[in-house]
Amino acid sequence: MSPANPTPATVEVVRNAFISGAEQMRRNLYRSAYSPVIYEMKDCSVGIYDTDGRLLGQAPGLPFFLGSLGGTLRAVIERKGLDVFGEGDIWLVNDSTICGSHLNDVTVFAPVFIEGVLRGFTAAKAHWNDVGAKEAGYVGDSVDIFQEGLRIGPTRLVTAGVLDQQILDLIALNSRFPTALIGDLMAEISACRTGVERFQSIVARFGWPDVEASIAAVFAQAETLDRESVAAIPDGVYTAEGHLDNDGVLTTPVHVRVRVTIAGDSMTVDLTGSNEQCTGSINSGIVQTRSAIEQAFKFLVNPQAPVSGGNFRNLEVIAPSGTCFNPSETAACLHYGPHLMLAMDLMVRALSTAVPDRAAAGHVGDSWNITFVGEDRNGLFLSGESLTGGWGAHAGGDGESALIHSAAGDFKNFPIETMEQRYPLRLHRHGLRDGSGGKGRFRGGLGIVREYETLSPCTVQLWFERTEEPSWGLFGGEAGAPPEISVILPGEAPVLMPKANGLRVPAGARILVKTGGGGGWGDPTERDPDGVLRDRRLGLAD
Amino acid sequence: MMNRVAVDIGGTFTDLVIESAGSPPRIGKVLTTPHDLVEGVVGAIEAAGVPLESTELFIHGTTSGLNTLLERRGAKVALVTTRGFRDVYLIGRGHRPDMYDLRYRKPEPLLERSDIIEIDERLAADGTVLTPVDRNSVEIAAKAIDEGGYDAVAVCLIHSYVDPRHELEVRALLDEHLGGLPILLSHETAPEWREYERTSTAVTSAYITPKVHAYLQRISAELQARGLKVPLHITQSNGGAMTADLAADRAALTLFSGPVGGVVGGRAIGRQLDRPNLICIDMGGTSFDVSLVRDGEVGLQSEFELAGLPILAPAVELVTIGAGGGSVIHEELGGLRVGPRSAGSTPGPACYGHGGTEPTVSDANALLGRLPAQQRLAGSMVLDVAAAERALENVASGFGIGPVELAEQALEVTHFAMAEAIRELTVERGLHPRDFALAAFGGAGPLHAAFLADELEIDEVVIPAHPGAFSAWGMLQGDVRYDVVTTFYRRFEDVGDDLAATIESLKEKVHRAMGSDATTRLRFEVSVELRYVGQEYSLLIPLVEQSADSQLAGDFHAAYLTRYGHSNPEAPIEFVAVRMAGIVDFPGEGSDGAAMSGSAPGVLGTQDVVFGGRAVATRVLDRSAVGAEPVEGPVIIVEQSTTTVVPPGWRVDSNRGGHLLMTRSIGGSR
Repeated sequence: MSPANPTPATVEVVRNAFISGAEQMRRNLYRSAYSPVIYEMKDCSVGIYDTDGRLLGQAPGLPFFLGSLGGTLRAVIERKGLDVFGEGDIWLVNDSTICGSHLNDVTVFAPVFIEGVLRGFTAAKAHWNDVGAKEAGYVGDSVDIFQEGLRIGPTRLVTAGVLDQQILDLIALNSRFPTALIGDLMAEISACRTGVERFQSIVARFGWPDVEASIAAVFAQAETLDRESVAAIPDGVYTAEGHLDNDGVLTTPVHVRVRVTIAGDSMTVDLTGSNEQCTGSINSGIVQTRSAIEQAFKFLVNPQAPVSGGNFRNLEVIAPSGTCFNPSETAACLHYGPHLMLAMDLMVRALSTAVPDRAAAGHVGDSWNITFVGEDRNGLFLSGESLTGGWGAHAGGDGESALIHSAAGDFKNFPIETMEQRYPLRLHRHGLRDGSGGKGRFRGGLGIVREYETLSPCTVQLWFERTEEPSWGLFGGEAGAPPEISVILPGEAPVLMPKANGLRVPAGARILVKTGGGGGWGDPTERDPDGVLRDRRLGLAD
Repeated sequence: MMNRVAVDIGGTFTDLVIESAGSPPRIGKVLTTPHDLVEGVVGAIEAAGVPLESTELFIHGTTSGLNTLLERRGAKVALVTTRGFRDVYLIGRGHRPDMYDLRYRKPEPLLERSDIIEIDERLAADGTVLTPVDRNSVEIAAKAIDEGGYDAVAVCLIHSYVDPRHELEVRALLDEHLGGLPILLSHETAPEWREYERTSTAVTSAYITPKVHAYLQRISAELQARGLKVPLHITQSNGGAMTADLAADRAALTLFSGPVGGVVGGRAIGRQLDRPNLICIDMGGTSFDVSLVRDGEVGLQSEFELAGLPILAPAVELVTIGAGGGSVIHEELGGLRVGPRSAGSTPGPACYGHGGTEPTVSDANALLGRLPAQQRLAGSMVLDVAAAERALENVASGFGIGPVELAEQALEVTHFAMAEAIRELTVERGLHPRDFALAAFGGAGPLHAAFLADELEIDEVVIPAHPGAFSAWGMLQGDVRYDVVTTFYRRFEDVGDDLAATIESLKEKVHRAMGSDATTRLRFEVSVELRYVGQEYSLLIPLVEQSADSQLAGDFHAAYLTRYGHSNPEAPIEFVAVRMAGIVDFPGEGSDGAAMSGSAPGVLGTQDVVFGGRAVATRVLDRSAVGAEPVEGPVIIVEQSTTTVVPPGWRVDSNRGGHLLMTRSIGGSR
């Protein structure tokens, strides 16, 4: 057989076909999922992979998951080999040591067979609201993974098209919301099957040799692009460090140190010197750590180009074991995001002197979660939100206001009317937080103000980070305002409370949330006078 | 003899179609007059000699609203909203669709913060009054609006979709102080939950209303002055028509008034040819639109975005990609890319001979011989094939292939992108393109249709009569329609008599709105949005009986299974909304004869056309030469403004209504 030599058209069609196949998986997942955390907050990701776990086409809902599906597949293959997979099988896994994220993020994947030969995988990862953690909602004070829910190692749920009801029952039995769990799982399975069909149709059309050769050509295109872009950054070592308030259990700060080395067309990101594994749940497995660093790389290197298995080949990530970026197998991981988001932002900051035109001042650096759990006429309810804040200003202009954090992308906030229809909650205010953007030649974006009232007794969980070290300014710009959260029980004075776990409140409690603003860019005295006047006229800044 | 007239205003031409029973439609074409569109309409009427006195239906697709929005030349709008929620419209939904962009900016809103005024009032989610409307705060708002020099007002109060009383009260109070200023209430523009989307719809409506209103008044007056005795009708985004008076108050419903004519025309062709399932493609210079006719009905969506701003209004469901004749063929990092950049009209494709040097899809077609020399581009342009070849050669050399090879490969990439757009509307909903015929129109649609059909295993392609004025012709094939919706959030088993009562109140609403159009021939189509309890996205299920019975539940489970490949008949269902369309057929009869008249010479010539890497001697026919007797491909058919390619393995005949029907020959290739 002659070596495959696909035409340029075949390469381009194959490239697009895998991307649109993943898009199709994503639409399928969004539309049939049960939980708002998937269909509105887009806390999910889907992709199509080869047998080495290299990405052929992705459709990220959560950009944070950019590289985690491939990393998870590689970790599973490393443990299980390729021979365990059969046609029509569906597997799932959530264990933090394999997936890198918290147990609520459940990865479902399907092997793709073509004429009896394993050619790749399709995978979907989505956040399930409850996998049986010690409390309903978003536990803030767990100290090991056993308090965070059911650990599922790589498990075959469907064998040759037949679902193992016992495994499904076992998982559902461990959740406080079994109906939603089954609905979300079925949506993930359906998305994976959609991807398998698309994969097969692509190969049926061009034949495997041409598809394989096209994939190699696409990877080479992506790699070239990455290397050219990194080569344009001046060689050198760039560092930045910062800290989080605490890990939710101890009161000491969590340190993050980032050291970026640019050598020719390669980048190394070294997290050595960052915090030891946390007692609380600010820990992430290496797969998710690498995924987050890849996302920050993407912020700085060709943000507009689609991602494939050819990307990130010139990126090395060093995360020493025993740190919060590469903890032990039983470490608590529920808040696997805050230190990663900080590391991402620090990477941008570290490189801001080398490539100011690609950088931005500090932006929303946390997921800023507020969760209500209680009983209503339909039984147990859970309203979980991640709130928006101000983004950092940059050399091209002011930062955007009221935007979701960097780990999330096409996330949409929860409409007030939907929330009030669904849950015994009332919103008294939802607006921009005036004056919260960091001053600068370009101003940071504004955070928001939201005031909630509980209409029945319930439990509140609050997780608001970065109150001590808010979004920083750059090149003389000032920091944005830190988040400020107060709980007001009926008849009592407000109490500042950035974090709370399982706080029981009566009906009539109010929670006033002010999220942080973005950092400013450049000397505030250099701000265009029209911009100053406009901000004053509109009440955005004083 | 009574007649029916439609006018469609395009970027270049204003098209008019006049129909009268028993004779073929006549077409008038004049240049569009951008400085004053009414002038072009009047010009077209005069050129075609339309006897307006005997016109029983005059229908028009207006781009007034859409252009006002896209060009940002709308009204200065004040927004009145509930205290505490001033920034809802500015905040939007907080998402970052360009997720790797550190500098992402939200779509530019149509007004700024100082244009938003809070008043004291509040309803609870169930409609209970928590805070009554405070007159004083409304009067303060009225004063600010009066002094601010505003052209229009939008009012959006929290939970007004549950109970409109506060919005109505606010309008009454504002009216006392601001008599004459248009005041748009959010529950009237879109009575649906989700405060940001409803606000956006109300604000957009207010933004375009003064311009749309003025335009419709002027054109109505001009037509009446020239003898028109019936009310002017306007095509809505949902494909149906409404009177210009109603359209002036419901400007948001006209945003896609222009583009939908083609889709409605597609549905009509389907009826004429007994093809209830059609994929309609409309391809011009810069974009490729796909829409679906299924079981004889046009697919609708209840929400869409324009310039990033959400609009809650029914519109024909279109999937648009940036693929047109002007899409640029280029190399990027060793990969072959086509579009989304377009050469536009200046310099345009290289083959236009206006100095364009980058190769485009049109250049590929030209070099492959698929745009014959007999085809005059945009009227009088002569095709410069040598320029096309030079442009393609520049890019082809980078791949080590020849220009002809590149041309074919670039079209392969383009056809795949188009096929993906079609799959999004079909395969993803459990439908197979095989079960549809393909209807192709727009300047470039018929050039590509057969290749697209090959890609999608479709066996039949229809090229409509009058492709040059197809949108205008399509408008005449519609009906008068008015859509209403109400949020209806209830568990399936809790519905009781509420459903029937809701349907009755919607019927009254339709009657009130349609006014003189609500004749005895008015009929209703009711459908409900259902979902599993806890889900967000719902499915629209036609309602046969007016109750939440087991048949309706069964229909829902079945539709869910088709759409997503799984369903859960055990799981509880909930209602989200009830939708109703009031429909009245147009008066009078349409024409039925073939469109083609005149006797152009049949065979215009023979030339080499490349199919699958081989140059094949191919006849070039004038469209009027194709009759009921099938003509075997390869053949190129030319007519004013479009070219149809019939590749080897396909045959074509001219069918009922004068439409070309291409089918795969027996033993044809695939």
